[in-house]
Amino acid sequence: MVWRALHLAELFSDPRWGWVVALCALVALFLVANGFVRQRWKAMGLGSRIHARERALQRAQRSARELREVQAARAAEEASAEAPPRRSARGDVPSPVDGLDRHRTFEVLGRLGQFEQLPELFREIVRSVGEEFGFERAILRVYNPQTRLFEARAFHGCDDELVSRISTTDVTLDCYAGMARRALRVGSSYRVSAADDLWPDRLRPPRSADPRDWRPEDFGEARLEAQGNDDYLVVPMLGEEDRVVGYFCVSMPEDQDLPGENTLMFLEILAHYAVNALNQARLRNRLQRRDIEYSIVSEQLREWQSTRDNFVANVSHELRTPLTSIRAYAETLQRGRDAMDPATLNEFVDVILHESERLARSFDDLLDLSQYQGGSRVQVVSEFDLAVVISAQANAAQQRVKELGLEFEFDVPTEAILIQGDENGIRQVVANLLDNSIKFTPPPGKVTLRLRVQGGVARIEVEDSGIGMEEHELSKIFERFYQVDDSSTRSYGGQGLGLAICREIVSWHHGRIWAERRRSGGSRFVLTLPVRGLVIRRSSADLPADVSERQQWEAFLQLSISLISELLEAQVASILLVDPVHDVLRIEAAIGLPQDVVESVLVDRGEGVAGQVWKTGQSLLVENLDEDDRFRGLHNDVAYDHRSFLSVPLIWQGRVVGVVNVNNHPEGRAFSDDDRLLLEALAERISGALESFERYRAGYRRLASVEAGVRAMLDVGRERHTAMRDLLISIGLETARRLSLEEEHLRALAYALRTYDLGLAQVSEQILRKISPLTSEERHHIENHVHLGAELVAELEPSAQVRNIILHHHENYDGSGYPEGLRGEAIPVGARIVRMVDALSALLHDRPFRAAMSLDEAVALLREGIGRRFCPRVAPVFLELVADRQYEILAAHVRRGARALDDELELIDAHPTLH
Amino acid sequence: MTKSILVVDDELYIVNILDFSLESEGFRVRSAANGEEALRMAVDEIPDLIILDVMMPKIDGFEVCRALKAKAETKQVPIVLLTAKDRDADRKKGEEAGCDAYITKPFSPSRLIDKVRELLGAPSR
Repeated sequence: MVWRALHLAELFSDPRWGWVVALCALVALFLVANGFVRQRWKAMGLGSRIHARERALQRAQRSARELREVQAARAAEEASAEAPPRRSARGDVPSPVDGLDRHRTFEVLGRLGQFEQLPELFREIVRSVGEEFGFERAILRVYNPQTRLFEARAFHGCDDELVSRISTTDVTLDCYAGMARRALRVGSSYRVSAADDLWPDRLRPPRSADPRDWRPEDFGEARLEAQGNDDYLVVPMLGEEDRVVGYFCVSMPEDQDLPGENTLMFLEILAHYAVNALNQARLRNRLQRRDIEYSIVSEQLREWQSTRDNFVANVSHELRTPLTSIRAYAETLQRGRDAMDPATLNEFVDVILHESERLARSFDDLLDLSQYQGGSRVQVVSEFDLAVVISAQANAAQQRVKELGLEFEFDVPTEAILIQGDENGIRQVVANLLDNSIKFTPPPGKVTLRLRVQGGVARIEVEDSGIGMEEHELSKIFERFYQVDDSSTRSYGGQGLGLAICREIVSWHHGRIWAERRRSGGSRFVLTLPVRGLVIRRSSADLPADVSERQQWEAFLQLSISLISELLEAQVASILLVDPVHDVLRIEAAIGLPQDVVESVLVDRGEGVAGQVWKTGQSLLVENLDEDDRFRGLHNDVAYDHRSFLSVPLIWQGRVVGVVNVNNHPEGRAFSDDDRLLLEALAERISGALESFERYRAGYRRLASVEAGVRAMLDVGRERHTAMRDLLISIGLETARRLSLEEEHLRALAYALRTYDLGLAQVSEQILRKISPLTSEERHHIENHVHLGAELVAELEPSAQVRNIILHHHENYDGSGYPEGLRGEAIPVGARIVRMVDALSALLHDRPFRAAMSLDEAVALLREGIGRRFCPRVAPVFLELVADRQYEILAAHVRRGARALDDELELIDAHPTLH
Repeated sequence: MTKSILVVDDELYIVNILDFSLESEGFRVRSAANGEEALRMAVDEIPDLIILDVMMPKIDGFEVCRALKAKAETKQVPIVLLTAKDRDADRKKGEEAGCDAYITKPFSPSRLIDKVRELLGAPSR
């Protein structure tokens, strides 16, 4: 079979075809321009100008229609004159393509003009290609500059399996360049051939080679000579400056013939059409997103301003109240001193003294806050006994509490609990929490203070039976400027500031602080502190002497360690880096290890768990160090309360550059394979950041954005780390394993499952809590969270996979989801799994607009959605696993509610009429 | 006849000093610690005058003032707002709520008492 290359020049040399080319181009351009311009003017809201414009367009449309009619009549004449029908290049078999009625092509183009939404338009394009031209298969791919991949957007003639294969195959620019070579050129398309059912996606030329030098042999079985059923045509979609923005790819026609010039041309026009639609949609999106961003920013600004105003009012109230007492008592004393009995006089003087102290304290608080937040406070780090500090606080509070008619209970262990940190700071935090509880508990209430140590973490609880808080206030009260609405201002007067200081101090100690609501009324403040804090090796690295760079490096280590210990709930975590000069591993930073260990430990290649990981480049999960023959007798450090150990390599450019270790789960359980996947995913990100750290040593630009991402992640982790979430994540991963996802995809999923709703943190609380139906603008805000989430992780992201999962986790199987309206197998399979996890998790939790569902109800609802929202391949596997593990889920439900249940029992006990 | 005054403030020290000063001037004083309690006490036994703090939990002073001025039985009772809020906007809000006097903290007890006497139609000292 001989392939005759066609060039546009040739086409134009034939006057008849020249007409068609010119005409089609004219019509295509006109349709595109028409839609585009109208859209644009509408978007800009220029009413009167639109009308003028519209009229002009209508005029142009009319004359174009007239012109088209004349042209069509002429073309029809020519067609009838030209008998027998035009033959294909092969000469004997008439191609159905070239037999295509030219009127039909206009109709096809006209129909395309009706589709405004990209996904529909793309689907229509591939459908037309398939049905009108008799191509067996057609797919359309669009280049995504962020993932640097050509992503499949529309399919024709592919079964589910093929769609799935095509959408999960990454087509890089290199792959594209391999297809789009001069030698394969036909017009402006490329004819590519493969020996079997291979699509271009399978072609993976050697990465190192210069695409210009590739020869057919580079493509494995693909041979230029091997033509036939497996040939396909790649039609590039070219944007500005002929840059490729996508392509579509069609199989050869059923009769094995090559397409005629007519067809080629028409395919190119379609490509042109698609490019214009794409540009138009992108512009529209950009405008829309700009709008959304603008309204988010202005709303944040408004919120910030009002909280700042409240802050000023709050501070002034805090300072004025004691001042008021001082002045009133002093003046009364001055005027009535002589008539007063000595007891009253003493009482007055006491009040004045007490209120002066309070005033002084408020000033100190203000200064502390500014210093902690400005980072200028000189913290005095020492080792101190937390039990002693707490006991002293309890004793001091006891007296006051009793005077106020409250009951006070405290439970502090007798043995010493040694902590490294700022003793005064911790004392201040505990005093503040106690003050709050006392202040908001009317008699005859009860205040309880507890301290206990569990697996290397000290946990302090201050509980009261006071007025309590609304659910949505629980996390907000720690914000510096936060004040609830005016009507209840007073109930938090002073808290706005005090709790902000507490949070600063606690996070400086790598601890956590949060508030919970008790069902029986009142609040519970919980504060956890690692018994051994974060240590960064002093002699750390041969790194910049420059102080600010050094600080950046330490901040990076600190964030990485926090991230690891938080997400894996490990109480001991360390990052070791290879010292290439001495060929040893050194601990760069650790949490939960003594300073001297961090400074002195050197690990040889192959020694112990970390040394093994360094040597082999493979992760190691040891369930019990004592029972494992390989490591018996090693790692007897007291820091390891539990004997489970997880260690993964940091790999950069194929070399092991370090090792990350975690140990001591607070519940005492051994680490699992899910944990391993997550830690590997984190290690990938840390390696990526290490790389950018090396690369941008001078600027450290990326570090700041990395930091923002990590901080957002930590906040989400802190608030949402529950047994239920962990369980659902584990079911999600198991689903992926049963679907035989590759290890690499599993890792991306492990990470995405932890981070997919990061973007929600950026959506206004007001919208999320809204009960009434959302306006379309609010809906946009919520839908935008997938973009925000994907952007947040993007900075930490060496691969595009996680980003894609997060971006598409709200797509529905039937194409009705957002943001792209992807359909079926075109949605990344990870995103389809996250969709299930997210949906189940949402149904099992209370929402402002409905109560939590029972597991049965939730499962029934998910089942109903199969085929519409949920993927029929993923959902049954997921639901089966849910059924298998229903008791665990119910248990997590109970555990989540256990505290609430305790409180309820307590309430019943306390309530006289309920006995 | 002894005039009765209702003092509403959640700050114990303030209640005590008002109590002391007013009683030594011959008034009978009752006190409430929050808005709800104030509304209840004001209706249970209608006082001759009310001294009202603004920033209190649950129901603030402005609202208590509005509610009392809307009730037929308490409409006539003079209300003194005693508050740390000293912005013009706050003062205006107080006036709109129908208060008879607006005094900002820190305050002078003797001047407060003068105001109380004036509102009660009693001669000041």
